[in-house]
Amino acid sequence: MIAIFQFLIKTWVRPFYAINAGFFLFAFFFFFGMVNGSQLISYHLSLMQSMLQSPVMLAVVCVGWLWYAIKCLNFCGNSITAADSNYIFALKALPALRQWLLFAGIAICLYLPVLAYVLVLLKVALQQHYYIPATQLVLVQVILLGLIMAGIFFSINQNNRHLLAAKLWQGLSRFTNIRIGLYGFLLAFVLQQRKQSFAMVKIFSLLLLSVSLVRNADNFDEDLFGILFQLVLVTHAVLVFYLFEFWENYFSFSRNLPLAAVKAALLYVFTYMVLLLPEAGFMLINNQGNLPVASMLFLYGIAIAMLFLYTAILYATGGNISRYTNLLLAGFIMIFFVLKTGYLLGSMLGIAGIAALIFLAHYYSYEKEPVKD
Amino acid sequence: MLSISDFSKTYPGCTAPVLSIPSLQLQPGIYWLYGQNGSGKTSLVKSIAGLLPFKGSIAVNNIDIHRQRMAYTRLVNYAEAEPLYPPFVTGNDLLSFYHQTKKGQLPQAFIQAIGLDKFSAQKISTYSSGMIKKLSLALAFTGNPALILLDEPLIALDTDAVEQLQQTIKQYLQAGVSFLITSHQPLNLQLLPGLQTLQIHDKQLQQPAA
Repeated sequence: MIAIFQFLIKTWVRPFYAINAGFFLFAFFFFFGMVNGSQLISYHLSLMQSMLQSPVMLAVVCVGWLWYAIKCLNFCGNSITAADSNYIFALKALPALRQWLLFAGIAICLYLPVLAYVLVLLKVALQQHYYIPATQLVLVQVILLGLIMAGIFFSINQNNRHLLAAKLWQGLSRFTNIRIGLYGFLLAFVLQQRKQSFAMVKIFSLLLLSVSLVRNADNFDEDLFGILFQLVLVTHAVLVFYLFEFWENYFSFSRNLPLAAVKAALLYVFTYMVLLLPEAGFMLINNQGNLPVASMLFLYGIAIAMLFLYTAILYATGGNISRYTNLLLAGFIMIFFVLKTGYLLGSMLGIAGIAALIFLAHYYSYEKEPVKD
Repeated sequence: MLSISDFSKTYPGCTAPVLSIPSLQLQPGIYWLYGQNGSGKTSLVKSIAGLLPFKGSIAVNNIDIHRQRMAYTRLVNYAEAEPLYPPFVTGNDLLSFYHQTKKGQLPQAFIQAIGLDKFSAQKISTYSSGMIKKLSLALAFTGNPALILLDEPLIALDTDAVEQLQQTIKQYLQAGVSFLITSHQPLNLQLLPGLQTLQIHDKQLQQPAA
């Protein structure tokens, strides 16, 4: 039984968290990264109190939890119906009670982020004598966990390949499916196809920034910040490469469209503006007066311009990864001196201008270099 | 309609061009471009479509690809032999994207005739190779093209779709749209009257036989 449970953890739970890493990172940033550290506890306490006091607020949150439960169930449903997972149906040989216990464990593991929050919420509810909302909370969680367990159980035992959850998910998707337009293609790629890389880059770069802005806030060192800022940019070079590779592999047909090179450049710039928002937000929230707001905005601009320059380098080098990495190092040294001058606005415009010239000169003439053995 | 001069295409890392065309003038109509595997058919078609850089000049209705790229790409549409689209977007996303950029009309009749409307709301990751091919063909008929380039349009298509495609080509031809088609499968000459041939042989393009 424990061996089967461990096996399901490997095949369902770990992939679930891996695939949804970007979503969890976004949720974490949304709930904990947007608020100043000193106000974090009071902010969440007031949020919880409003949930306990207002039935409407509680209902809204419950809808969110239901959405998450269906997401968990849909993931299991897809795993069950995947072509390479017929072995899962061997679980039917287990007695029903054991299956329910097994799926209860899996449901708890998948639903853990919500449960952890609800446990804290329950503690607050009981401390402040909100007994009725506390009971409602427990009931809702039992129902939602039961929904996940039952969904898994019946889809395995009835060979029901058109799982209820999948239908529910499709229904929900109709409301959440937004038509992806030109400016959404690259973002959608990162958030759907490169979630793990995106999460890793963001965690790493926020950690780097926190070393200078949070841990050493009292002894803020501009040189240290400058080096860490450059490391943040170099870290993003991975995402830049993925975006470039994606666009040239899947959207090379766009050269047959009346889509000006300037528009393609703006598409990249817009994507970098959005991707760098967590860093910009983190710097603004955790600055503690060490850097003027204008400087931070210019640094945000420099970061966008540098990522655009990396993109332009990829076009100029025919997507050659070794030449790209060599030029990244050159860029690392360049940005060090740029930051030293203190002329941030001029630097931002200068880098953006150079990047635009290289990009526009090479966009239409780009052709992938053959890989040499 | 299509004029090519001093054209040569050399791939990075190669010294010799895969194809050279000193001069070519094509009148409006339908052309079947054929040649052996690796003869340079797709390279030529991709160059005309604007997907590959090349030396020389290509113009459609006297609009040069290098000098008036936006106007040129409105006139020339292209369907790849083996289209590759992002798996997470839907057919509708791409149809809408093409429609917004190419302007003009969506080929609604063709979309319905080949059954694309039945699955265009689904993500491309769920498509079979034939469904992807149908989508790429619908995209090639979007807008107000003067020249449509179809690279191996018949592969992966079911027989009904092949017939619908040939009917649609005929309708567009009657409306004044020209076609340059590469295909290893024979085209239905009865459905496509006036079909002329172009052959690539030994890195040279031979003029159409009368």
